[in-house]
Amino acid sequence: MTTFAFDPTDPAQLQGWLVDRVAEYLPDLSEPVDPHRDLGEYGLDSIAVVAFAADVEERLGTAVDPAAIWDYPTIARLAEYLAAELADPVSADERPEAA
Amino acid sequence: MTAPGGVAKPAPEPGASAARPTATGLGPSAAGPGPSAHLTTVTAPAARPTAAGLEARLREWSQSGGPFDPELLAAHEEKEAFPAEACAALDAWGLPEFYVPTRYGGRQERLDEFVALLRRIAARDLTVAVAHGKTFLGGVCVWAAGEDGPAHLLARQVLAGEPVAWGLTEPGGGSDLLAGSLTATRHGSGWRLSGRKWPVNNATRGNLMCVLARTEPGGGSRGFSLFLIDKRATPAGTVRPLPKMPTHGIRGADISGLEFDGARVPAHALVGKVGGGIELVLKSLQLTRIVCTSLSLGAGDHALALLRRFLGERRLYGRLLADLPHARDAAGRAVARQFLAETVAHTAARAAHQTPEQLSVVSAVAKAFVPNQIQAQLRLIGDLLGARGFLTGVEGYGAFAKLERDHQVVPLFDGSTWVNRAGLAAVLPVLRPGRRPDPSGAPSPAHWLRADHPLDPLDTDRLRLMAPRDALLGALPGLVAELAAEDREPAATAMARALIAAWERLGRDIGALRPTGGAPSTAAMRLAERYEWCFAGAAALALHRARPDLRDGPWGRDALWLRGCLAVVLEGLDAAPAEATRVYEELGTLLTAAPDVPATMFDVTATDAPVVLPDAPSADGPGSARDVEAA
Repeated sequence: MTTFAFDPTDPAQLQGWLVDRVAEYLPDLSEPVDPHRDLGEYGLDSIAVVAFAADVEERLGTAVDPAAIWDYPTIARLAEYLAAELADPVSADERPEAA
Repeated sequence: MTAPGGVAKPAPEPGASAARPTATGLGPSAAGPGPSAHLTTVTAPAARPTAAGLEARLREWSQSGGPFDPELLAAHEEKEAFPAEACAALDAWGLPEFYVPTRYGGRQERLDEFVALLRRIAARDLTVAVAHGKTFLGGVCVWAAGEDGPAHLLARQVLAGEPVAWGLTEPGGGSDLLAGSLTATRHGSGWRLSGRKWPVNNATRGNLMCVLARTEPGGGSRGFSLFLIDKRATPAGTVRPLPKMPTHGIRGADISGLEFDGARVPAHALVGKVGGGIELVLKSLQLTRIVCTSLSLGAGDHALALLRRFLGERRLYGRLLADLPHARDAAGRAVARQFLAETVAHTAARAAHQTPEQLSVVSAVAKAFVPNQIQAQLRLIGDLLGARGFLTGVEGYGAFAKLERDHQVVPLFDGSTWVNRAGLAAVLPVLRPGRRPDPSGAPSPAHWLRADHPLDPLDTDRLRLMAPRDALLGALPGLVAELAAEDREPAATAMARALIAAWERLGRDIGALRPTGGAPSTAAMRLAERYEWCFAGAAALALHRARPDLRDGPWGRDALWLRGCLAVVLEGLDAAPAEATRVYEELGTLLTAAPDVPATMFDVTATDAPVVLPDAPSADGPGSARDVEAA
């Protein structure tokens, strides 16, 4: 079981954590990452989005398909979606990955 | 994906004539059909057409005056003319049925079977395989979208022999799907398309094209949708062909484009969901990239056959070329690369059924790896053939220059090597050794690579954009331990241990990778390449474990094929084993000493009778192993 220094089922805390993750991918960005801006606007191309999804999936221990990032393209929306996913272990067990 | 079953054949059998592949006696266990077997009309019960049956037809068709007559195909190439006779023969044989899943009335069930079929065609003529096989690409998004209405509609057309093109690329866009500017806007209940698709295989000759179009002005991953366009159903003058492009290889193929000028299409032309185009294409590419490897394998088969002939008839310094150690070494390297390439392709094709969740990684590895192995193999063979590979007028050998030209397009198809490797590089941190073990109870690849393992049905609903893990490399430590425990193949075991060490080094190097937002660094691309090598080695070990039958026969003796594969892999990982030279010598010797032994581990024409190697030098043979050692 993965343990965190924050509560990943709380969208606000998860959002802060995701902002830090995205910032890792954008070392040249001089401004803070805006959680309400589309990730695509930061220049995260399709390959980088896959890498980012893989990274988040890895660290959170829950399935994060890159398509989820397409459907929830800002950090704020992604955080809400992922927090709900993490709070609902039943649906997590039903993911195809477990098959 | 909708469940199969209860679906009646939507259309009359295509080309229901004597030329259809209904003749019995084409199965792999049957004796070869006589020369006039193709004239025999046999009605029900219809035998399932097989790669062996296709191979028998191809042999007939390749005779003088036949649709695959090399002279005819060379003449087409010379004039940049489409190989229409060969494609018509394949239509009549029933190849289009393999483009349609069984639930829609076709015969498409297994990807490894389709790879074997297309490989046979590619081994005769790569241009024909490319020209005909594109319908697999054109249809795959429609089957993956899983909507019965459009799928049945398309199935009827394909079964009637109608080719389907896949319009993804646009002028100036390269491999970047998100750069597409062909736009579809709502118009009444339907859509209007404007823009260009180019270059597209079969854009001009076919009536149907599956087109990726921008449906959100801002684009983005959810800004594109797919449409199945029937040119015949668009208003006159709104869809125009763009001229065929002169190409370096596959010169007879219809590499052209389409221009849409406010072309109106009905609502039911939409494939999948609005905004679902990119996802559908990326998932479909996971299947088509594996199919592309069959083109490389066929080219490799063709080149090896030419090499064998040359080694057996060319005399230098008073002896056969086959007797020169350098020639045997190069021939051995060429065979080893072929074995390794086909092992990866076979593993990937079966993985499509068994671990579709991981196919984003498996297909990227296969597409980056296999065509490059064959390119390297063709270089080796080209060096040996010397002037024969260059002169087009020497009987039979002109084919080499053509296949070498033709093959150069394969590394570019369906995402170039760079694109596939970059996709792999991006997810390497997740794939690091030991990072995420398989869930307990998940069957090892050595299990589903067994010849008697019934494959799961192909289920495109299980495809994911990102693989959660790689079961094949996850199985590597276990496979090596099992090989060591068998205690039968010390040389292969030593090489397998070296592979584990290289894999662990790769893991440490991946661990030092930092995430990046742009294109992968050169260092990350090199790690991805090493990952491909490790994957290929693991595939060879898994196949060796899964297929005891491959330990018999000439290539299986003392695990020869496995040692050949591992030698190539370790060289690729800068860990060349001392054993390598001897392995290539053994492989090259066998290739020349036993000219009737097929240079493949997946011989579709194999009979139950074991192939017997000559134990003693024969008076009229091209030299036995013993002769060669003495040379």
